[in-house]
Amino acid sequence: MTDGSLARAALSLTLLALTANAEPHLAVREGFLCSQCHVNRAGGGKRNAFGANYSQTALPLWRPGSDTTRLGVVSPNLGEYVSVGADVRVQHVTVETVRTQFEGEWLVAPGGNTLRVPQANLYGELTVVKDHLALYLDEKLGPEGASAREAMILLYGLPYGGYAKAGRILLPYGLRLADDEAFVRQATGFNFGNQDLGVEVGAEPGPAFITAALSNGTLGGTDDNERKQLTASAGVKARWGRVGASYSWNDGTTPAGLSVRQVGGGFAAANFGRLTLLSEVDLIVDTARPKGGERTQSFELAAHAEADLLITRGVGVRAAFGYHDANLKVAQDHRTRLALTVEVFPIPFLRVTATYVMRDDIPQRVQGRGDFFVVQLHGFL
Amino acid sequence: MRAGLAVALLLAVSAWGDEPPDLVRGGVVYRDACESCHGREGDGRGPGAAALSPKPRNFVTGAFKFRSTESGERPLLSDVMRTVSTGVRGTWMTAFGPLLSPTDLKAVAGYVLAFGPKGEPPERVVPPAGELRPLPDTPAARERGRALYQSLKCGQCHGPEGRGDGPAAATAVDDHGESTAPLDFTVGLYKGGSTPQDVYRTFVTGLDGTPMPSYGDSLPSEEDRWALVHYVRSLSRSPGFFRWLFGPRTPWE
Repeated sequence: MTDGSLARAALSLTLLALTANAEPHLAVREGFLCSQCHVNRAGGGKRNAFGANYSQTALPLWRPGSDTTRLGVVSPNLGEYVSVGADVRVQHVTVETVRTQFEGEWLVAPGGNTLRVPQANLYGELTVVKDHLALYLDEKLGPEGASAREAMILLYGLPYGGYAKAGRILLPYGLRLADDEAFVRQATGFNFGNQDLGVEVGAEPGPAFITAALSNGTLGGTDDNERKQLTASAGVKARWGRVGASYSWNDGTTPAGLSVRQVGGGFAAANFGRLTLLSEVDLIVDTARPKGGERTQSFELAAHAEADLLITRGVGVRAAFGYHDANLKVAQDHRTRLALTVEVFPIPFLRVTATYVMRDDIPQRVQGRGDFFVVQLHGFL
Repeated sequence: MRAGLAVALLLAVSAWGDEPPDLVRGGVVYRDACESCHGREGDGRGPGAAALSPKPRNFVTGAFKFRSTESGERPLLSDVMRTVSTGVRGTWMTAFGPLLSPTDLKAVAGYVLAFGPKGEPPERVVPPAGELRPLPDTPAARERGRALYQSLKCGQCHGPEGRGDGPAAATAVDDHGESTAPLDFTVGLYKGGSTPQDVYRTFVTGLDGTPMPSYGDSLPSEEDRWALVHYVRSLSRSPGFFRWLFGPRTPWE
């Protein structure tokens, strides 16, 4: 690999980083489920009216206005039936240059810095039957062209907080963490860049929540309408936090042979006043048997632990640690990641974050070793 | 329901005299600011209500906690405006004062009142805060207040030291049938406001819909009322680091 291609690899990895989409630490801090603030019951995407109110009252450090001038309450609702939303993020990323000696050779991952827009999404919700049926669209305008991140028919308001979704959906697995590049999101594949076509049903009876999705599967290859992916998540929530477990069976078997990925894990979160803790551990098991070949299995482990401290309204700090072992049968091939973030909501609907990420990886994966620093502006409705 | 609301709005307009609130504008503000918790029909059953504790107020019943009127009476327009403006500490009822203009505050307060029972405007029994002059906060007044705290059995709910841990605290329920914790005076998150005038108003009018009764009749003397106000407020302690970190918090404060 040349220096230039290494640099591009390091930057492209980094630029994917910290494309935050959901804020589970906020939900845990306030003792809510994701559906309290988001139209999508599993979290992320468009905020509902409560979420918009929360964004204007509980999040911002300052609320502009004077004794004679008030901004009013901004609502995502354009009327009784149409509601909109948006997320736009602008980042500046600075990556450290890394030089590592491996087997007598110097490997170099040159650093750099760049400015870009990692996310520009528009949301639309058309209520067809009040309190029961809506059409939901999460349209990614950029980067790299427009595409529907989610497009679904949403049936809700069923008994026991029940709902059903059908269409292009994000699969319900684990804590829907803010950072898509957290190892538990990256390694499991359950992140905001990986949707699937399918149906999802769920319910929120009392303190419990349970959801399951049946989809085409995203392991690769074309859908043959026989092999599917089943994803399920369940847990209980209380004011102090939540515990739960997730599991996914993804059958990617083709005429060329068996290929199944199973992902299972647990998550837990707790709130202690201004301090919020999140954690998730996932085990990924890939089973393969090429036609006429031997059956092989590989085991992968990803873990995440995060502490969020609210200093005052609108200002918080976060430390997040990630661990990833790509093959449990191989010793000392793990990588780690520690991200320290200062998060400020200066005014309603605007967030500024500064994050320093320290990474460690095996010497030959030099592109995974460089620290980087990200300043992000996030405007949203 | 819609027709009833329309009639109610007309009645309400007639009861508010010269400068009635703009109820059309109030409806718009209500939809944007209030409906997600209090519900389209004002029954406290908005889509966001289920997860909240305490539950959002049901405006239809007409039982409002924070009033300048007798216990059991409807609140005044100015009472609802005050609550919308300052919020209710320790709950999800946000202070909308920084967001809403005085005109919008009046409009939405009028719209909220129109959900409830109709009739003659209620009588004010507590003067507006600006006209309410506290008597001096002296050691003697606090001592008198402490004696009243005991004789009125405030400690049954609020505890002998005002920590909200009285023998009746565990069984206290509100009008939703939900457990409601008596206020811990040492923390001082007064829901109805923490100024002497706010605490005075709470004693005199009570908090309808909760076990907190009116002490207006039990405390006819101004000296006694202010003595109890000063004693109760003196129980508040400045938060240490651990209470700051782990203690109760009002999300929007």
